[in-house]
Order: sequence, then structure tokens, then C-alpha cells
Amino acid sequence: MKLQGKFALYNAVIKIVIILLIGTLLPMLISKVVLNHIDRQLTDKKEKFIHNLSRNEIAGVTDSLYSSYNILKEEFIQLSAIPNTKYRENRELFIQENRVIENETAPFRILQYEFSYEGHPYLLEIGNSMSEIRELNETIRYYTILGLVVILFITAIFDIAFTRFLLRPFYKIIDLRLKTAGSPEEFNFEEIRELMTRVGDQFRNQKQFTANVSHELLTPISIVYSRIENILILNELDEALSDKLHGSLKVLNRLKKMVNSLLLISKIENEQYHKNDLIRLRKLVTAVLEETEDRREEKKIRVNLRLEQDMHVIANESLLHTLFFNLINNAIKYNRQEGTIRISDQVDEQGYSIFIADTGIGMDAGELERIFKRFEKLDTRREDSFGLGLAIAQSIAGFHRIRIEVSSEPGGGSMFRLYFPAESLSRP
Amino acid sequence: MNVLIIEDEKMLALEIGDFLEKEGYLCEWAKTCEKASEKIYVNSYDFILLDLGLPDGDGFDLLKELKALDQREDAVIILTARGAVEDRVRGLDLGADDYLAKPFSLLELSARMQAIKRRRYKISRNEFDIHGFSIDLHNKEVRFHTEKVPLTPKEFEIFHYLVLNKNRVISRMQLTEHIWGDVLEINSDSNFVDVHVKNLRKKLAACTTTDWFETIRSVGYKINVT
Repeated sequence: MKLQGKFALYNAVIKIVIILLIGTLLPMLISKVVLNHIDRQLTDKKEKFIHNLSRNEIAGVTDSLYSSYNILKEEFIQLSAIPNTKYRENRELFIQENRVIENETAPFRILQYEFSYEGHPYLLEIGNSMSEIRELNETIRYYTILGLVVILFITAIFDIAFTRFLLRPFYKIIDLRLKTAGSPEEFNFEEIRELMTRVGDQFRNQKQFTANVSHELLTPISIVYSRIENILILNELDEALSDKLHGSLKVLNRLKKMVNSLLLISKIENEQYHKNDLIRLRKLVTAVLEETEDRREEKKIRVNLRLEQDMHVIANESLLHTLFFNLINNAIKYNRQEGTIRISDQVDEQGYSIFIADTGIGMDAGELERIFKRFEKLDTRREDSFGLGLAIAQSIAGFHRIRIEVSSEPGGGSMFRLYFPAESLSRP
Repeated sequence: MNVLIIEDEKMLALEIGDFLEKEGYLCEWAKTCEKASEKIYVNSYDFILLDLGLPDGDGFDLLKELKALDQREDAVIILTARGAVEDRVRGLDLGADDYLAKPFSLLELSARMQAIKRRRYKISRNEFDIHGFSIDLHNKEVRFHTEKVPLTPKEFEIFHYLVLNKNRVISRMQLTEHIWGDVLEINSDSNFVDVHVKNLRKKLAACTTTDWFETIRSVGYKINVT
């Protein structure tokens, strides 16, 4: 059942209970009040009657019965002498019983009063018809229930409209997140739990898989590599053969690096790295520049390092080192002879940026789109580059929620921007 | 010197053993943790080459076992395909002397063993003499007869590695990996090592003729000693 239906049902049940309660209690209360009122009236009348009683009037009653009633037989009064044996002085009693007045039976509320007058005991009975009151009671009950039923319907309609209004955002979320997301209407939480277990298992499997793959792929490479080296050590080796074997070693080495690169990306994407080192970016960049000094020397590339901010970042140190190494190495590899690498920074409200710009061959729009893709070899100007360096950089950046943006023009150099989100930063 | 190779891959163990025997070591091989454990208790070794991923256990446990023994100086080099940084740190923390990620170069393994020997056993020579140059490993300097040759640290490393592997062709790749480490870069056959070799050769040539310092076209370099 829909949530809204449940709300409406709950409201209706509560209201019906209240109506039944009022419908039974109200008539009971009314009859109680009315009876009290009648009893008081009867007592008043008795007092008046007793007060005005005279000897002459009583005299007529001694042997027979005095009675009187009004025209509509709504009230009657009756005085009779009673035998001494039954008499109890000043006994007052209210009873309710049917009386026959001129062949008409009707229910009456009667006050019985016993008193003595000049030594003779008498019973005085004053009655008031109840039929009218019963009818009134019925009418009140009828209208009460009718009124309450009408209220029930009106409030139920309002309830439904109101809960629908209240629950609208909730249904919107359900529609958006669950139904249109392709899940079945009857959502099963057991399934979610199962799904979570499955995801957990797969995560563990993935980790295990990565470890196994590295072993299974790297061990055979290792065997062949060692074997070729052992052959190369043999003294009487033909020079041409030696060249070929060295070439094979080079290929094996490339294979090794490709496997390692893919494993690294896979490990990053499976979140198998922690990120809780506090790293001083200026120090990290300086370390990478020192490490790449020899590579720059070959092309006589100058570095213009201008980091104004002393920013600290929470990240994985070895991964971040690899990220900067790959970008700076890239800026060296694709730079021109005696080119420049400019490294600068900038702070804004949302975060912190480091720019790495080179004076290299640059890229056109088509190349820019592809540079972060794995195994996308760029144009023929760049020999045997597999683009994995930038794919790794992209994975590392994604893992740390660092945004990489590239702007470049053919012949005009490229600029990489690393955008660190504010939450990963801390200034000393 | 005797070496225990703990390696579950037979072919790799054979290649390593083959190479080290030519270098003058006595080699034994253990395929499993259990076998290795037996051997370690019975004999002591100058070098233990330890693979971490063994079929019946973890190499780290074996390392702990070894380190718990008294009066043992066995040098341990971890050889593993599990190239994780944490493994390297953990291995060195547990008392391993060095760590090489598979696949590694046998020449690199030999160089690392030489370095450990120098550090721990002080057996290996601290000086090499070659064509009138003497290499002082202790002070990290090269002299021509008595004259000091002003080499940069990188040039010194290159010269040392080539002399260590004299009469062998050392490719640019092997040289680069030895000097700059195993950087994760596909295209590591960069020419930047050539700049250093060129400078080194220039400085050596200023002292004497260097026709023994050969460039093998499209491969690498070789220092010939007769």
C-alpha cells in the first residue's frame, strides 16, 4: 500500500473511533442531565404541594385516592393513604416505571414521598412523562452521528490532499532515484544488502586479482630477461646477435613498464592507496625538479619556478610525486631545445592551482581530447609514447579529487593546470 | 661465498644461479618456505635472495624467522613481483638489506650484492685500477695516477658501473635504471644518459687516450680491459 493511503486509513480509523465514542457518550450525558433536571422539578412540586396541603383536602383522601393530571397527560399527582405497617417516615424515592392513564401506557419518572398528617400515613406520587425526553434523546443521537459522519468525510478529503502535498517531494525523490534508475517497484532491502556483500567481495577479489596479475605477468618477463642477460654474458658472442638481444631486453623492459603502469592505474582506481600524508607542495615540486635535472640538461631547458604560496596538501605522497614527475617529464620531453618550463600558482576562493607550462610543440584540439586516454598514441612527431604517463596522472588526480585542465595550441606550448580543492589543502 | 635462492619459479632460480656461479658464488635453491626454513636453520649464508610470494607462505615470515636467530649475519635481498612501496618499506624495516622488484637485471643484482659486501664484510676491494685510473669507492673519487679527476656524482656512478661490468656491453637502459632508478616511464630509453657519458669521456680523455671506452651504436657502452 502506498504511504499516502496508509496515512489516510490511519486518520479515518482514529476519526471513526472518536465519532463512536462521542455518539455513545453524548446521549448518555444528556439523559443524565435531563433526569437531574426532572428530579429537581419533581422535588420542587412536592415541596409546594406539601406546603399547600390543607386538612380538608386530606380528609377526602383518607379512604379513597386523590389523583390529578394535566391535559396532555405529561404530569400527574396522586395522593393515597397507606396502611401503618408499610409506612416509613419521610421516605423519598425516585422511580421510573410505566403508568396507565386513561388507557394510555407511558413511561414516567416518579417521585414517591411518604409522610404522615395528623397521625395518618400517606403516599404522595408526582410523575413526569419520559416519552418526550426519550424522543429528544433519539433525535440528538441521530443528528450527532450524522454531523460527525459529515465531518469525517470533509476532514478525510482534506487529509488526503494535505498529505499528498506534504509527500510530494518524497515521491519525487523516489521517482528520481529509484524508479527511473531502473529498479523494480517493489524495492527489496535484502537485495541491497546482498549487493553490498557482492561489491565487498568483488573489491577483495579485485585486490587479489591485481596482486596475482602482477605476479603472473612479471615473473615470466623476469625469467626471459634473466635468460637473455645470461646469454649476453657469454664471451664469444657475435656482435649482431648481441645487438638483437639488447633490443629484446629493451622490448621486455617496455613490457614490464606497461604492466607496471596498468597495475598502478588499476590499484589507484580500486582505491588501494591511502591518502593521509601531509605534503608540502613547494618541496615536492623542487624534489621532482631535482630528479629531472639530468633530463632537462640534455635539451638545455630552463625552469622558471614561482610558487608564491606555501601550500600543504593531504594526499598520498608517492602518488603525488608520480603525478608531478609525469607532468614535468612531459613538459621536458615535448619541449624544444633551450625551451622553458614555467611553474606558477594561484589561489582563489574554491582552492589552489598549480600551472605547469612548457614551450613545446603544443597540441591541437583533437589531440587535447585524447591525451588522457590509455594507449592513445599521439601523432607521428612523438615516437613510441604510449600516453600512459598522462593516463596515470589523470588517475592519480581523480583519486585525490584534483582537477587537471590542459590548454594548448599547436606550436604554442601546453599548459597543465592542477586544481586542488580547498578541502584537501592546509596552509602552515 | 654462498647464496641461498628462495624462489618458487624454477627457471628463474636456475638463471639467477647460473649467473651467480659465473660470478664465483656457491648457490643453493629452496622452492618453498618449508625447504628454505630447513636450510636457514642448518646453514648460514652470505646472501639470501628472498622471493616474497611463495606457494606455502609469505616471505616476510621467513625473514622474521631468520632475524630471530642468534649470531647470524646473512644479508637478505628481497626479490619480488609485488612492487608495492609498502612492501619495500616493510621488508627493509624487518631487516632486509635491499629490495629489487621483478623483473630486475642480473647485473643490477650483482652490483647490489657488491655494495652490500663492501658495507658489511669489507671483503670487496674499495679501489679499482683501470688504464691508469683508480676508482676510490670510499671517497667516491677517481684519480689518474695521483691527479684527481673532477667528476660529478652521476659521472662517477656511470664510470663505476661500467668498470664493475668491464668487457660487457651495458645498454643505456641498464645504465639509466642503475643510476636513476626504476622510474615508471615507458619510454625510458632517453638520451639524457648520453650527455653524462659524453662529459665523463671528455674528462677521462683529458688525461689519456680512451679508445678502451667503447660506444656500441644504438645499444650502449663498454669498457674494455685486457
